[in-house]
Amino acid sequence: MICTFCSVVDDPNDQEYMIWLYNEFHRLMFATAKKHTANPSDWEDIVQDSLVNLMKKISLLRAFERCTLSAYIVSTVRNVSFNHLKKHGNHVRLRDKAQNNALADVPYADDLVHMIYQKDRLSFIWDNLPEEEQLLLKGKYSWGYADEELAAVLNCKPDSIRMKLTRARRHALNLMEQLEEEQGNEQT
Amino acid sequence: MNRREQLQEAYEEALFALLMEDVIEDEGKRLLEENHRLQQDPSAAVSDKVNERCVKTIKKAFAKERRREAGKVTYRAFSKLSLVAMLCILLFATAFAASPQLRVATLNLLIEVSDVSTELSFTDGGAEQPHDHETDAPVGVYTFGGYTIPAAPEGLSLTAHSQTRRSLYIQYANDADNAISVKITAMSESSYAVDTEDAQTVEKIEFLGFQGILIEKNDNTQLVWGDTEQNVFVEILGIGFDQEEVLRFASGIQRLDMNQMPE
Repeated sequence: MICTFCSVVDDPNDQEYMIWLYNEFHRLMFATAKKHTANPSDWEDIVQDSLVNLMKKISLLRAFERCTLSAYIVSTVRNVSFNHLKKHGNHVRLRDKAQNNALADVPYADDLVHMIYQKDRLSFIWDNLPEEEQLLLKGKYSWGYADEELAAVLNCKPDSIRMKLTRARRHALNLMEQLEEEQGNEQT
Repeated sequence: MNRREQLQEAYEEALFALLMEDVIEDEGKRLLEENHRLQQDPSAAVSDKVNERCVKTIKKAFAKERRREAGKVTYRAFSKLSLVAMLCILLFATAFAASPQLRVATLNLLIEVSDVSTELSFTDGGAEQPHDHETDAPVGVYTFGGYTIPAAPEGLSLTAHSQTRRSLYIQYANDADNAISVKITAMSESSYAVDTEDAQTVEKIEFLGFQGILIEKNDNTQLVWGDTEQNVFVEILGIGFDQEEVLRFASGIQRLDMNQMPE
């Protein structure tokens, strides 16, 4: 029983790690919260809620490289901001860009292969994607969010996440193909 | 969705998981640069009080998680203990119900008084037959289950006697139909019921070191006790005799200790 109880007590380093994380990134966290709400009383609430959420993923955080860690922290604060605004009855409007819905232009698997060697292109066209699509792709493929978590952030039904993801991927691939064509034309 | 479409979707998902690594790395580098800039910017400073509250939030969240985990561990431990205890109780109850020997061996003598009867039941001792022994008692002196019944009191004479392997019954009476009887019964069932309905008194007493009851009903006095060593019930009934007379007669009954029993 004593051994079992000892194993229940958290690794004391986890608490120290979280305090270090806060001290290291607290200005970035508050700056991110400020981007989504002008109400100063909300900033502290958002950051504290974000810390509680981050605490639950501590084993994941420890595995990240520093740059990935900073991106994850900012994503968490942004998602908590959206939830906070929704809870207080504020409509969250994501930045929108014109979407290319031409699904007929989807490249086939053979074309996709060579894109693996051109992964810079996704980074290049990333800012051209609507914020919702960025949230979807990052949440699904970088952070491993479940459909329900993504649906909560985007304020939609979990069943619609799969179709939204497909559209986001296809849109990104279209933009990457257009960029490749443009680069090909420039070279000629 | 057909199989090719499923495979393509799986391929796209794996591809994007790979491509997103670089996107995140690029974004992360930008954010680290911004973080560094904010750390140098006095206008981005957060007050000490706010920092203290945020650190306190971290500590409270960890304390809450520790309590929750401790509660879960305790609950799991008690669940297991309860399960083991229930299994033990179930096994014991099954054995108890199935085995008269176990029942008798584990219960103590209980005296339960109800409106119509009083039941004496053994809660100690075994279901063994009472030790029978031969004594050098003279003729007319009866023995059973370690007990030697005295001869008839003055004024009374033997009017009934029967003895089996499981019981002894002696009755002494006079012409006025006053009688005093002794009945010693080996315990074959675990309980012995005595009629106490409408009795004037029903008193729990101790006699010869054993628990028993003394009943006064109409003009009769009845003394019953359970010998948990010899596994017998002894009943003395005085018809037309009061408590004092019955107890005086009962005091003449001799009991051999188990140690004194011949082998």
